[in-house]
Amino acid sequence: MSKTTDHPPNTNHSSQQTLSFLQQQSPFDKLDISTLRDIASTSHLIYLTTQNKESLLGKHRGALFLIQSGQFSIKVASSPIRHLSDGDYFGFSNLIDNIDYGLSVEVDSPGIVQCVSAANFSKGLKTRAFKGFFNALNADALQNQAVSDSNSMWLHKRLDEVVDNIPLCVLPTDTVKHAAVQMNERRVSSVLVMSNEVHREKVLVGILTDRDLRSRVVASGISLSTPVSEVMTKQPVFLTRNETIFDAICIMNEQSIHHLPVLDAHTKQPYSIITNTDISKQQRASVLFVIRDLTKANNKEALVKIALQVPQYIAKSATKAGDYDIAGKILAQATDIITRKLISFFEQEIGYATMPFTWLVFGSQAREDQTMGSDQDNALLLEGEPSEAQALYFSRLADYVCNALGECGIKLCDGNIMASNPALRVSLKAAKLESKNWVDNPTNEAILDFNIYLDARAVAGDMDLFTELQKYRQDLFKESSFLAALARNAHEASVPLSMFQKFIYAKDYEHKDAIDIKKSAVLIINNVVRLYALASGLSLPGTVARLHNLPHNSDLTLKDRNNLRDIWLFMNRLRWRHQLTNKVDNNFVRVSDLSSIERHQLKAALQAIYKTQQAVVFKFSGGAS
Amino acid sequence: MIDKIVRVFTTILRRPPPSAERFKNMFCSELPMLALDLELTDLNTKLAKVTSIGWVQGIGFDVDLSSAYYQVVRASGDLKQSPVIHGLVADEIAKGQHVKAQIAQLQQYAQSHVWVFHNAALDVAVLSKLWKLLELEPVTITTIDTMLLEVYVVEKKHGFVPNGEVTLGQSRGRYELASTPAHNSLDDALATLTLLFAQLYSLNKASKITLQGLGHTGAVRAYTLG
Repeated sequence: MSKTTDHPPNTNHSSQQTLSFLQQQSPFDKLDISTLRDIASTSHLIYLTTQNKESLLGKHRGALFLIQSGQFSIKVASSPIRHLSDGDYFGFSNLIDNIDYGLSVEVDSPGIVQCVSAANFSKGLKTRAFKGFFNALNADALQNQAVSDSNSMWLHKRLDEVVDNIPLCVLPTDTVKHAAVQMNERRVSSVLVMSNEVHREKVLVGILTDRDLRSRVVASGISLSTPVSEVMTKQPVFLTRNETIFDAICIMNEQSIHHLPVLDAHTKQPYSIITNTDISKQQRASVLFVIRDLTKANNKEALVKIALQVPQYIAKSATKAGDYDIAGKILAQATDIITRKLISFFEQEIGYATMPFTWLVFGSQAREDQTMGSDQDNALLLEGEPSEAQALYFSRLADYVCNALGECGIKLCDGNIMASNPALRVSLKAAKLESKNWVDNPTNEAILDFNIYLDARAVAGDMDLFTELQKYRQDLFKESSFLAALARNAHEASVPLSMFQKFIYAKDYEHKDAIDIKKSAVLIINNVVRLYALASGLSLPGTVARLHNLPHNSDLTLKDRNNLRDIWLFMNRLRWRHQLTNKVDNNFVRVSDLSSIERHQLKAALQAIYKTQQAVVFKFSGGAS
Repeated sequence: MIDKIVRVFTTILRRPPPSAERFKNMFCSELPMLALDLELTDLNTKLAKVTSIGWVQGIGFDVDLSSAYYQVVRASGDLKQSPVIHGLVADEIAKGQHVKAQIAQLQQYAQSHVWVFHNAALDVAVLSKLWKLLELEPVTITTIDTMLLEVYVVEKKHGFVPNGEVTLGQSRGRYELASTPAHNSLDDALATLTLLFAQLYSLNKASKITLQGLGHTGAVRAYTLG
């Protein structure tokens, strides 16, 4: 039929509706208006049904298809079937790879599909964001550009990615002069002091810095032949190379130090030294200064006053998407510091405990992904069974700290998972027994109760107690029947997507288009990553940290790990932005608040989470769910 | 004699218009279609003036957007509701082309296409009035009215047609087609055409329904313009 060419194409007469549909559709929204007008005024709209699909798809062979309504199942070559609906694309693989893979389309529900010609698609490819979008879609990858472009990603970098200068080391018996000459030659401002015991591996025993040379040697008039051991800072704090820049910044701020030794996680041999200069080269996030303020508080009232400003401080400072990536960490670090401060205030007033203890935190604080709505989850681990007097001391300590945390804005826990609950002040022996019980009886109900304790971190007190508990649990939690039960449990939560990849909105919420990002996305990733971490004997609690530190032989490939990390950070951003923009502390993110590209990313992310969930069940419980 | 005259008149009146004759045995999926919409200053066809006109062509469940046409029409006098309802302000209308230019363009499709309207009666009455005013040769067009088609569908299903059930938006919703921003004549014409595709598919999945076969719905009509 040639009737459609009765008059020449009139590019001025583009349908407003087609144009605005494209303008709201990622990545078409990245194209300039004249290209969009061209596309809107030259495309075809087809009503695709089972009966006409062959003739219509044949007629528009080589086009990009954009679904406006209806539901379709698409299969390209040997790839798995994709179930698509409005806003989804097909046909792009042929165009990107310039290969006719053949396209198998099942019409599940007929609807309107826009056919964009190959020529117009090529015009679009000249725009970087457009090209990137379809390349990523073709590679079945989440569009993670936004995440990797983030200003704060560097804070998540492992220390060994940032510093690799071999540190200068001296012996405790070396003279100060020898150390100074070495430092001068190497042009460094600090030196590590390593023990030199015969037949034993060298151990870090001290650090000597420029400032020590000035204040403890020159200003004090001490002889240059004095052994280093007499002027060094003994038993310095250190980090291991698998920890992050963010961890370094927090410690350096809290301890007011400018040089931090970095050791190998396993051998504890020196790897490098990270300095203020290394950090200031990259640091841009002023939000970190709030941590410095907290460390300066010297009584409870002052601490509460600063702590209450933390949320506003984060809200004010978080101006770019990337800032949200560290907001959870900042909040967790702030809560850690507040906790340590409160314990020290209590000790100053009442006296020290007569039995070693560790203050433990669980859940989001342990994982360092706290948000505005997170409540406190903590416990006291005691070296042994306390006497009556000791029990009273710990009870008062716990009450004081938990209530004061509440005053500082960290909500009391509804589920009473707090050290102020006597059931959560247990001896190391009892804690081990409890862990054994979890592994022996991992029923679904039991998992719901103990899941939160599987992400744990020691915040204050005697770290050795917790290290011993973790060591005991490390092998215990590798038990395959235990992991299988956790995998089945992790499979119970489902991502909010229908078979045709439409969002399923949360019920009983004031807005009809909201998704509970925490329950139906973030927690699922946490559960999945925890499984791989436990199976590998990794005791770190943070999800991103776990992904960074999984051993190379883990079943989760590097690509999957990076993808999961990006997805986790993306979800985290969505909920932080939601909380800060709408001034709420829930996790119900409204789809209408998202940009077109974010909606695509969210769908892709949820699909990826679903796939990972399936893989976990297959791997850990032999496919039985 | 009287019988003869009656017979002749009856024959003339019964004779299908030329275009309808050509289209009647064609499958709907083979019909060249022109979906058309006029935006008017008044719902009373005697007073109504055209403020904009839009149309688009399609065939076989396929709309060719390069055939889309949209024009604001120059009008004078009382604009009544149009500046509010149609999103056009008096300035734009004053700058528009004279309606004569559009009608001249439209003329070429009178015989070649089946015209598709959502509520044909109103637009056809105005077009016919213009035809006369411009002293054009009368022409008979074949139309499909998606509103009447929807009346048929709803009535068949529920036995009656509740108020507001057959508006363009409501009708589209029944076929899970997105609602469109109302009151742009090209968008409405496009929305009408894609609605017709969905209606036709729903009535006969194999698309083996002829224009004549669609006649029982009451949605197919011939009108003489002029």
